[in-house]
This record gives sequence, C-alpha cells and structure tokens, in this order.
Amino acid sequence: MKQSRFNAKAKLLSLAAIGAISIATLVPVQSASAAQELRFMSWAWQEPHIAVLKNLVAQWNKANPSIPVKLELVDEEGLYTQLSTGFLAGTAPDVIDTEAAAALQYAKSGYLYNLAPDFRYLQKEINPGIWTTASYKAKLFGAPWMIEQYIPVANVDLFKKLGVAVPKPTDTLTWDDLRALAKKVTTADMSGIGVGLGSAAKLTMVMGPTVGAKYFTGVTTGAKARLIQGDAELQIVKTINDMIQVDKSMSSKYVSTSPQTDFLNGKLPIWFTKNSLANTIDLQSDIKYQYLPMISGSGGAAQAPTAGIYAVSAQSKQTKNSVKFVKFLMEAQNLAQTNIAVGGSIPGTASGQAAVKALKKDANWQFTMSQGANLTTAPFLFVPQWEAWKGSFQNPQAKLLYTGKITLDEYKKAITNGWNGLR
Amino acid sequence: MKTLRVIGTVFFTIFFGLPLFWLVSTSLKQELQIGSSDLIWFPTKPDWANYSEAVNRSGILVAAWNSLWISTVSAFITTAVTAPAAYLVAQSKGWFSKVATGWVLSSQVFPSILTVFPLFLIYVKIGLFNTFTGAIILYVIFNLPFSLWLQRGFVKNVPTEILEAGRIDGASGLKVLRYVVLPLILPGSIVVFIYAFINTWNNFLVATVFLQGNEKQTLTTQLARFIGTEGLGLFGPFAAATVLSVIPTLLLFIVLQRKFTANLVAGAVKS
Repeated sequence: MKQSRFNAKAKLLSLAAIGAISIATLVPVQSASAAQELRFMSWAWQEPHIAVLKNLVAQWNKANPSIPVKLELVDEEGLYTQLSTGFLAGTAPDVIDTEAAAALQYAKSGYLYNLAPDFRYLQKEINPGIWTTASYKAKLFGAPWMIEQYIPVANVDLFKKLGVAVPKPTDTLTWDDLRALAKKVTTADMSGIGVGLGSAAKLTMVMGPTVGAKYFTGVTTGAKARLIQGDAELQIVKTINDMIQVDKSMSSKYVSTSPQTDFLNGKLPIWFTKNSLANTIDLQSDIKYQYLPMISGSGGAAQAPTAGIYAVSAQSKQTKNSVKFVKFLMEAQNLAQTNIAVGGSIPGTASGQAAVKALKKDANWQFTMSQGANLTTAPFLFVPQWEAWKGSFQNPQAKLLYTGKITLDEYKKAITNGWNGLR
Repeated sequence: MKTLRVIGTVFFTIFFGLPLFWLVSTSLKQELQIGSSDLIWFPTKPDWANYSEAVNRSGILVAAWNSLWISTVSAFITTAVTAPAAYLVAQSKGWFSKVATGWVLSSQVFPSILTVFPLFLIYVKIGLFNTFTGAIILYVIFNLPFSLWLQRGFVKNVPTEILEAGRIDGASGLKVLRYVVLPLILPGSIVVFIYAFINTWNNFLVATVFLQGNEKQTLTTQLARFIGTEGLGLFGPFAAATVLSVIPTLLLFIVLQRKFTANLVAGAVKS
C-alpha cells in the first residue's frame, strides 16, 4: 500500500518535472527587439513623468506609423547595466534618456551618435556651458532636455512668524548672506536651514563656480588631471560645516535623512535644494513657499550642473529615425510638458523655457525658468575617475566632517590622498 | 540555560522581525510621515493608498506573473535535476564523488557578476538573450550547486540496507532511484524546491541583464523602479509593493513547510 503511494508520488513528481522542462523549453526564442521598432529607454520613475513620456510616444506613433517607437522603462542601475552589456553585444536601445555625466563614458568609447550636425539649429537656444557638458571632442553625444540648479526655498509663513523678511528672488544673496539668514531663522527647537547632505559632494561641485573653485587642473589631458583643494575649493564645504558646527543653524541629521519632509511639514524655514523639487512642494503640501535669490559669490551666480540628455546609439540601425524622434522630444511644447512633469527642472532650450513660462504663471516657476542663462560648463565631469573619487572619498569624508568626526584639515587630507591613490 | 534560550529567541525575533514590521508600517504611512524626523512606529490612521498605487503602477502585475512563472519552472527543473545527480554523487565511491562535489562547490566561490558578461555575449549569439527560456536555464545553473550539496545530504541518509534490498529484488539502478530513493528524499526535494524558488524570486542580477523590455520585467526589477535618483523615491508604494511581493514566498513556505515536517516525521518512523 505504502509502496504504491510512493510510486504515485514519484510518478507525479517526475511528470511535473518533465512537464515543467517541456513547457520551459517550448517558450519561443524571441529576438531582442521587433524589426524596425525604435527602442526608447528611460529611467523615468515619477508617475507624471512616465505618463508624459507615454503620451509623447503615443503621439509620435500616431503621426509616424512607419517609425514605431517603444518606450522601455528601467531603474537607474538597470539602465547602466543594460547599456554596458548592450553596447558590448550590439543590443543597446536606439534612443536613451540618461544623464550627461554618466553617458560620457559611452561617448568616449564611441557608442553614442554625434548629434551636433543634426542639432545645429538648436545650438543658439542651448546654453553654451550645457552644450559643452553634453559634448566630447566637439561631438554632441546628447540633446540636453533637462537641467537642475540648486536654489534656496523659504517657507514664507515661518519667516513671517519669526519676524524675518524674505529676500526677493531678484535680490543678491551671497554665501555669507545665506549663512546669516539661516542663523536668523534658527530657534531653540528648529534648524534654520536644511541641505541634503547624503550626496553633498554634488552640490559642492555644481556650485563651485560661484566661489571660483576649479577642483581640477589638466582636465583636458585626461589621466593627468590634478586635484586642487585651495581656499576657493573648500569654501562651500567650510560654509556648510560652519552652519552645522558653529552657528548650529543646520542639523547634521541631514547626512542620513532628507530635509524635504521637515520643510514640507512646516518645520524648516529654508530648504536648499534643486529646482526640480518645486512641484513636490505644490503637490505634497499647502505651505506658502518662495524662492530666495540664486546664491552668488566671487565667481558669480552661474552653476555647473550636469544635464538630462536624449542620446542616440551609434550602433542603431535607424540613426536617422532616432534623431528625428529626439528632435520631436526636443520640441518646445514637449520639453515643457516633460520638465513640468519632472517637477520644475529647466528645459534645455530657450524655447522650452519660454513654453514652461507660458504654461506656469506662478512667480516661483517664472523665476526658475529665467535662470537658464545662469549656467556654465562642469569641467570636473570630464575628469576620469571623478565619479569613483566622489563616491569613495568626497561624499563619505564630507559626511564624517559634517557629523563632527573629522576636522576640515583631515577632510582635505583624506580626499587628496584618496585622489592620489586613484590616479 | 532556559533564560539564555528565551533571550536568544527574543533577540532573533527582534533582529528579523523589526525590519519587517517597519516595512509594513512604512507601507501604511503617508508620504510626509515616511521621512519625518519624528519617530512614528505605526500610523494612527493607516493609509492604504500606497497599496493601490503599487498595484496600479504600470507593469507590476505582469512582472509578478513573470516572477511566478520563472521561479516555479526554475524550481521544478532544479529539483528534478538535483535528485538523480545527488543520488549518483552520493552513491559513487572514490575520486568521482570527491571531484564532482568539489567541482560543483568550487563554482560557488565565484561571484555571479563575474560570469554575467561572458554569458550575456554567448546568450546574444545563440538567441537566448531576452527569453524566459534563457533566464530559466541560468537560474537552474545558479541554483544547482547548493541544491546538489543539500540533496546529497538527504540521499546519504537513506539507509544502505534499503537500497541493497531493492537491488537484491532485481531492481536496476534507475528503478532503485525511482521507487526507493525519490520517495525517501521527498523532504529534501521540497527543501530544494523552496530554496530554488526563493532564490529565483529574489534574484535581481539575471533579471536586469538578461531580461529587457517592459513585458519581460520581473518583480525585483519593477521594485527597483520605485526608487529614483539621489535618494529620492516613491517609498510608500515601494514598501507596499515589497510587502505584496513577499506574500507568495511566504505562502509557499507555510504550505510546503507543513508538508516538509510531515515527511521528516514519516522518514524518522521508517528508519
């Protein structure tokens, strides 16, 4: 009796296994992409952004039935894994929605199509610094569709409650002015200002030009790039550290938590953040906010951000059609829709910025969209090993500094040694 | 001793239970409560909106189905292949058994990432890239070494007398395997199945490299899309989707664990 039950079980198990193997191997082998279909890969993750991209693709497919486009959504890590493997094996998507700093490695290897000849008509509309940031050896490897700047935002009601006047966006605000203002709005139970310190290195580098920081020499000579850590290069780090350690106007907790929630909960008077988060305030909170002036220093107010770009694979069998599709995405109205959906980033073209201004009459939006000229090239993006150095030394050491575990001198020594070790 | 055991159990429960509790709690919080500097253990008014947002996010249900399909088939094949292989390795005397076991286990030393790029290039050449078949083959290969080692232990526990009795009765090696060994190592097969299923269900690397395009996504790659750049993300829906993604593996474990325990007891009585 028992033997027959075992037999039945063994048969069942064998049949199930054989069935599974058969079914699995019967699944038809499919090619990486259907013929003639343009693959458009994006790391869009916010629902409004995804909806706009889907809508744009649908519009394109309706108007261009002979050049169908398929939108593929991936996460940030997945995007670069799929690009790295895809370029090696010839399976990369045709059009890529990515970021200039990260795309540079692929441009250097010749994987990205030179868009410069096709986008000359837009060059006068794109900030020269951003055009350079999206270029390698005079070849434009991506059409810049999105730019983010750092800007302080004030909670108007909290300022009013504390009896402090909110500077107008058109005023001038230096780093020292910001520090003094943060001190003024600091109370016993509330920090005056919050900066996301988890990736503070990016802010430091992007805002470097405002204090005349160079960070590297010999950038164009590639591997011989040398790190500079003089007074100008350390000024922003020192200012942030002084706000935490000396003035107590900023909490070091922002090393591990975002100030966003405190600001949106009405517990933080100043949030120093990216303009793309403007929509977050509108959507998630009913607090009254106002942008403070762009920070300016001895080097002016220009910032050196990276840019969101649309790139075309040089391996694409349909480069002309891919370029045509990117031109469609770069149309003013389409850029406006996309940048509004992302949360208020600045479109890469002047006509795109004007289109956002026409759609968003609010004073804050009008102000940020007028900052498209306040941009410059980010030379550090071209330094080999910069990303590795930032991740392994600049960010971790900054966190140690801001939490009082090391001094500014120790910070300087650690990041310099780190750079020398990487070279 | 008893006190130590109680302390150990409490510590173990907290160590593993707290992150799960926090995950469930986060899935029921509103966006502004999630990153709040005020410690909120559990929201006073649970907000289920994160769950509807997670389920309604495009592609998540397709990804769940893909994960279920790939994990089930991979686990079945792994279990089916492991049992006879483990029997062969366990029964072989001398150098073959040692070399085979050593070779299989040494393959575990290398991180999967090392083999991914060469495998990717091979897959593209032979047309297995971006197919479920290709992914299933990889999962089976990745699951096999540990499964074999696991199953080998169960086979070794089968009393030699029973195997010899089968042979004396005139059964061939295959018949002994089919009618004697397989029923006796059923608990081992269930353990292997659970291991292979969970390992495949949770795998990110193979899914992100070998399966591309919206319709081929698995749950792990879809979950990663809730996280944006520079520490930003949709953390509420992410937590909700993660809670939902744990349910199938939890159910599988609960159902099969009962079966597993029952078979273990049956084995004990027989021996």
